[in-house]
Amino acid sequence: MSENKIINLFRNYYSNLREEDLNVRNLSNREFAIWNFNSNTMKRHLAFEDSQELKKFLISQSPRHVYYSASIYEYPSIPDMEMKRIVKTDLIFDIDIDHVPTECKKIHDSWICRNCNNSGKGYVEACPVCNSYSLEKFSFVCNACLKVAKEKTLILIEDFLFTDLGISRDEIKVVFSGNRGYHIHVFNEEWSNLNPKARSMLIDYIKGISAKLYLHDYLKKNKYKFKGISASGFPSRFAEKLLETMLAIDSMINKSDLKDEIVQKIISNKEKIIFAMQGYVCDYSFIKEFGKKGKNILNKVIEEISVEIDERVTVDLHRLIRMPNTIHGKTGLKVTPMNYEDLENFEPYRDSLVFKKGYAKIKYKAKADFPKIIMDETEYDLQNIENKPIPLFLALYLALNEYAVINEFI
Amino acid sequence: MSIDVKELSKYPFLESLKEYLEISDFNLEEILSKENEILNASIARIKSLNEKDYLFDFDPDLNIKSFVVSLFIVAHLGTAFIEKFAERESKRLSKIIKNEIENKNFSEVIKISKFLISKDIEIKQIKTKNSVIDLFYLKIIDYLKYAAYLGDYNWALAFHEIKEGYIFLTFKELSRILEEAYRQWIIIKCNELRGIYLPMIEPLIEKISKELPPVKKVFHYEEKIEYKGIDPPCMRMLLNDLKSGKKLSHMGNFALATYLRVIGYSVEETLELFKNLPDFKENIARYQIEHIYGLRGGRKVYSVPSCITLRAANLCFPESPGCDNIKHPLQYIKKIKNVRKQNN
Repeated sequence: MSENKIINLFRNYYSNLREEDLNVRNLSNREFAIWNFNSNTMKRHLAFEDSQELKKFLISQSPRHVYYSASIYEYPSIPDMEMKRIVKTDLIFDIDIDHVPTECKKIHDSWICRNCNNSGKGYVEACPVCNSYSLEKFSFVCNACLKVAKEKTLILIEDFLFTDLGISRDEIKVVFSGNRGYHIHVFNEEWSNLNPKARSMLIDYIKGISAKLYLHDYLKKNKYKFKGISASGFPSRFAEKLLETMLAIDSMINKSDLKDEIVQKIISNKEKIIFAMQGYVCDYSFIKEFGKKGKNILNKVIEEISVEIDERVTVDLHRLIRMPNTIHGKTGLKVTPMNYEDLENFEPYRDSLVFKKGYAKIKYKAKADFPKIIMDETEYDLQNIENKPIPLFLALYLALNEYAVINEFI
Repeated sequence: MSIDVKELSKYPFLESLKEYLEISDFNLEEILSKENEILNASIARIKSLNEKDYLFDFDPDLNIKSFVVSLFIVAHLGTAFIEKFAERESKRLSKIIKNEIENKNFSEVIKISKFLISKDIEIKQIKTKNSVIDLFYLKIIDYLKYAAYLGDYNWALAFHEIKEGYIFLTFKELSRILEEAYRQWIIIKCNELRGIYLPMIEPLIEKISKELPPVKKVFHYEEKIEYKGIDPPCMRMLLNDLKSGKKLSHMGNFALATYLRVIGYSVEETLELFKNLPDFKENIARYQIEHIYGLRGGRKVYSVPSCITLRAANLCFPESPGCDNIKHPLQYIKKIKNVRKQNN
């Protein structure tokens, strides 16, 4: 009963949607795909003439998920991927908070090891007791998680896309994915012709992969000379962040795994370090003082100025991405497009709510450490809402996420 | 406009080539039809592809014309010759560029770069505390097109200064990018010329092929590898993860399956290994493995991803010295095998 009601809600949404909200660039040359409620498979290789035809289709199907291709094809509806013939592919970056060990995950995420039955809180890749990867995980996306996702998105846009790559404001579109993060679409003819190998190099840069692997060796090989604060791009941001870390080194006494004598030595050489790091080419030889810990310190700095993105979305030319202005079928939130200028003040749990009218009652499927969540500027204590009337958007969020079932629509 | 023949002789790909050939009544069909000086020089050059000294020191006129004829013949000799020709030519260019830089003939370097890389390229002076450094300044998009094919980590963007869509390169770095750009230029040109059929080319190719020693292939990653238990570290990690039941990423699954095929695992043997995965579903796994092995769908056999692709997927765990200066995991096997041979 509940699912039919939800399908109707989705249908209503698509009926009221303006056609221009579905008007993506080169619509007729993109592949579309949907995932229906009550279905285990994705319907792919769909193509539409225009947004009017697409809207009609969405109303008739009321799908749970809607995707479209990053690529523009000559023949988008041919199932054979090679025969579709790629014309160009939007450059898209996907920031997903799922794999970022944010502080708040210690509050709302938990795991149980299927192998040794140990359990714990927070984000882990493998069981810290027996190293098994066979874990049952519970995760939640709270307001703080989405704040981190937004901060990382801003770093990606401002430091990498604008400052380094010279992409202009009107060439990007930011899209809240409707769940755990943001997609950044770049609409620029030259960048959209980039081949996967070249795209991999961009990913390597943004994620700081080569920097983490090789910067320490690079410094050693080059007598600890590397570009510094007066340069631009990664070297400049790296030098700035490293300097910031060194200036705050007093606070590391007794608090880090560094020996106090090393920290003291750095403190007494602070002035010298600050001087050495100014200029175009800098002297990083103070790193030697940290011995084997040097690489860890560099990597921590690199991590802070890098952005964790899902490389497959950028590199795979046949990738499908969520269609802006459709509903995310796991949250009931709108996949919300916006201009870069609006990102700063964007609040996903306020600005992407769709079902703002109506109430419902829910029952949790299992007990869990649900956090407090702020939606539509009201705080909800999720531990304390069962069988009480709550706004429809919150009930749908919990039900579509499979945390709860809806008992009653009010 | 007068043509600088000496310059064209060094860089026989420049725009003035067309005009030069027109003025000097160059007739490709005629040259290919019977023995003559240009054809002889071209064949001699192709024969030298595998020699220590690559022939390119005729007089300017002969250099230019025999370059064009060599390009056409090589295009019809097939991929191995094209790649070798591209390699030798690009190394030749690299040497000349090095010379130009040593002689501070920067305008020439800029001219060649504008032709081979992009028109959008300049020299900028950077003032440091003690000196002024001359750097080349080109679009990152153009840089990526070529740097993506150079394996060493020094080419990663993180080690360079970049700003508003442009990257700064030293002369030495630019000349390596030029070398790669020229290598790609030759391959593209040869592929275009391959489509041009002249009746006299067939007997000529037949005759030359008999006289030519087979070109040593530029390393082909798709070659069957003689596997003796040496796995590159990336694949070793994936294998270990798989054996310990860890869930692999999509790219991890894909890369490992392509690798197992190359080292001689059958579909059944690969499937058996993948049974360790926590989310293993036999019918899905079989379908995917068969797809990768080229037994389904478009029948395309998927090759092992390159180091750069694996690095982007966080699957690269380089191990010195085996991983130094390699672009592909299968090169590691070959390299370590050679090292072991030398040690014995």
